[in-house]
Amino acid sequence: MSRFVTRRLLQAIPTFFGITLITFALFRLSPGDPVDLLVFGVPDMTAAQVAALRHAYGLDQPVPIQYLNWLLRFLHGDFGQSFLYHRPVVEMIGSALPNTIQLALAALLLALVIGVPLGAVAARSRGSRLDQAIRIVAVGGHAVPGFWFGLMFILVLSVQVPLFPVSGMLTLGASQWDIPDRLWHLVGPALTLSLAGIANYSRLMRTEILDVIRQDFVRTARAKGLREQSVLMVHALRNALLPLITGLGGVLAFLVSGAVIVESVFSWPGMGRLAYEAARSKDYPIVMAVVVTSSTMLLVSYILRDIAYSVADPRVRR
Amino acid sequence: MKVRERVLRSLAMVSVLSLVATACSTGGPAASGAPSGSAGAGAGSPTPGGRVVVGSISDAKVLNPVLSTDVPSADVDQMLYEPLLTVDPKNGQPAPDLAEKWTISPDSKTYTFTLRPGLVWSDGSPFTGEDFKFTAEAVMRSKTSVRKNIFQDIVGATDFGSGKATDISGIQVSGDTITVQFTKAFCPALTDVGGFGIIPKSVFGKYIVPDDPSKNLDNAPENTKPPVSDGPFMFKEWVPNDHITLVANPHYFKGKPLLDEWDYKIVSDSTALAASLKTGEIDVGTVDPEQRDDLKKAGTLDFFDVPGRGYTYIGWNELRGGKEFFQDKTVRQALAYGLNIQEVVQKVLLGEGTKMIAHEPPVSWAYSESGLNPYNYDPKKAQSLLEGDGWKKGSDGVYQKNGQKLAFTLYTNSGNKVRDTFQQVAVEQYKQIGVDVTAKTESFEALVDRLTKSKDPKYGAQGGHDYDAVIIGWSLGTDPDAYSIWDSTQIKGGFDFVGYNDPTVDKALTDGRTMCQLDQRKTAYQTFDKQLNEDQPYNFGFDPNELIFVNKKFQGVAPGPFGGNVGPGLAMWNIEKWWIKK
Repeated sequence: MSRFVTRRLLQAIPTFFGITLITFALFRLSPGDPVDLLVFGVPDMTAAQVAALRHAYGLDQPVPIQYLNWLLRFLHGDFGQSFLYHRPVVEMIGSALPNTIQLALAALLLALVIGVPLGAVAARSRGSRLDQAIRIVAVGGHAVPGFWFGLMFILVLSVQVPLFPVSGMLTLGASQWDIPDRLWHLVGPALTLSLAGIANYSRLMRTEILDVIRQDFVRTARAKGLREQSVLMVHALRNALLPLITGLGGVLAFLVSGAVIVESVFSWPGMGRLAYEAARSKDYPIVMAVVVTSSTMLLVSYILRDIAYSVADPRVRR
Repeated sequence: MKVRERVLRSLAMVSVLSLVATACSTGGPAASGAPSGSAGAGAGSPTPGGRVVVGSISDAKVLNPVLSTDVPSADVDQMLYEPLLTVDPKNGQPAPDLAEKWTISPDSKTYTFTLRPGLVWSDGSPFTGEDFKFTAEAVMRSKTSVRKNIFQDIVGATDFGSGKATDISGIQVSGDTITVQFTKAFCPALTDVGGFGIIPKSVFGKYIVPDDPSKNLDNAPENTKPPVSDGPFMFKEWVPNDHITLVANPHYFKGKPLLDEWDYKIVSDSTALAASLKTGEIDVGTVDPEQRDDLKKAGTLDFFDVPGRGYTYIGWNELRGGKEFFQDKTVRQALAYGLNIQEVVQKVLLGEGTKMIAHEPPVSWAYSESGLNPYNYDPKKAQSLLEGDGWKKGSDGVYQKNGQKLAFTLYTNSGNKVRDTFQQVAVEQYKQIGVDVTAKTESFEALVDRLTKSKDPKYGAQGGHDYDAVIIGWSLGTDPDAYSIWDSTQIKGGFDFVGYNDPTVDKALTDGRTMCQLDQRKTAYQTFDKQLNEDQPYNFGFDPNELIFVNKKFQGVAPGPFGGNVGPGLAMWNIEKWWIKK
């Protein structure tokens, strides 16, 4: 088991550096220079001043050297200084990352809390009108783009019937620890982000439960004379949850990347917003840091998923 | 679509940053300008208290005028750091601020400012001329400031920057008097140097070491959490990409603001901004034209449409191999007559804009309409001009001369609705008069690259840039100086990327920089505008209005075209007088 984990971790290392190399190359070789953008329209700058700026940002070096410099600093735990925000990149990531994680976890929770019971109910009343209704909701949840749902949420539940705030994480002036206010702001974005998850989980649960139901131990449970309710909810459901838990890693990864769009609809101050502003100004220290953090999260969640699979199914370990 | 729209609006913002950097700080005129409380007259007596929430679709980057370059940062800086001089919010003429008066020497090289008596910082410590001098020194020592252009011509400034001197000898402080000596006459300095937000030496002094030029304030933590200020408000907190909160400065020299708190709230796009204005989550914001009617109907908002200080134009590249017809004034004039700008303004801005026929904004003190050709839309005239110039229509309906077709590519940056539509209309209308235009778009970053680098093989060294024609925009500062855009020395390395070269314009621009009496400058810029109007090196396009909505509960609001930066900043010049009607 530990050999498997070690191997997966080792395999992740080249992937990780591959990601940073490609991002850096794409970003720095595409047209547009951070210093040109900075000084565009600033009158009476001398060529020497522009050159000095370029030197101050380390942009006077060839691109491969710039990458190596970045890599060297990164290996020393230094993400560098943001061109745009005039402060350490770590500070910017530090303020954005918890917000993105908070949103992703809330969405995951919603997906589980809503998706699983929906699937169980659908399985129990399979073939009924209720089952069909749930299927329609699930297909709809999959088909509806998150940004559209988010916009409709704002239009209907924030503007027309002002139940929820249009944007942000907290009411201005509210304390950092005002949990009810935070949750109230979280409803729209978390629901939007969890939409596909709810759909996924309800479909997955339904299939799994129907699979499990045909197995011997369920027949035994029924034969014992247990009520259908308890056969389903205790015996079948518990076993059907297994693939769901092993799949968590993948879902988390999906949520983190999906958060970028939801963040922009609900003005959520997370990683997506940060990366967007930085990319526009070619602030590569921030862009690289965002890529590194989110790809680390992705890789870790994939490794977790693989480990979970291997625990559930020993054949995977080889 | 949502995400796309966000890109649209924000790119538009990026591209208007341009010249704003020269004119960031604009407090409010104490002696002149709009009468105080005029908008609140008859609305009861001012009561203190409450907060105003200003909306923006982009966060500030750094709260220090030495380093900031973007509009949102400047919006907040304007509330924190006061300059020596401000400008009249209506026409941009210099006006007193921390300095109650100023004089300019006959050779236009020496400026003398007299400070108001009894100025203090928000912590109660005295404000002195040394703070001003220190600000200039901090700029010159910074490695990443792009504001050196403002101070570099002061005697001794570059020597201080490089460490050859331990102070800027051209700035002398004696009691309430600050004397600034320049190496050459440079009139825009009055609003550039005078309008620069001054930072406290007591806070940042420790970062500058007179005999060590390697030390600077570039990474000072106080750049993001400024502890002391002298503007109407003081810093309280900043949650990146969410909000910045400022509170009233009891020591503000115009009196403590009536409002207790000033918030800068970030939302992701103009749709969210409009929705937040409607729900009252945001009190002040600028919106896109298509949101105007909906917000007007809401009934809770006052609407101000303020003429802008910039314009969206088509630049004709005169140094383009194979497209030498752009060097021909007649062709450029024909292209001015052949495009219905009024219709474009109607279509892309729902009428919220003004046709431009020369460079200076019509609201500027330096502008005069007299003697300018309005180039009213006249396709017949466009064609007759071309035909008089020897152009003949070919079988494909496109004009030709000496085997060359009147055909070119028109670039603009992608994701900007206004420019997209402008481009489409231009292609259609030019086709009708017999000019073949191909539309192309690319990212703003890529377009800047194209415009700033000389790559045309035929004219490369002279500043031949790699495009035929381009739609882009200028956002202008408060001073009418336009040297960096139009002087022929700016073809290489500057912003005259159309390659325009005219001795009358060059002379007028130099006069405007060296003969500093207001009426002398006025004459210079009118000569300059007249020549541009005649030559049409751009199709000057249009000047979009700023559409500012303010919650009705606020009294005393009076935005002006020079009241601050673009956007909500234009309303902020008299923020200390705003109050909330209960």
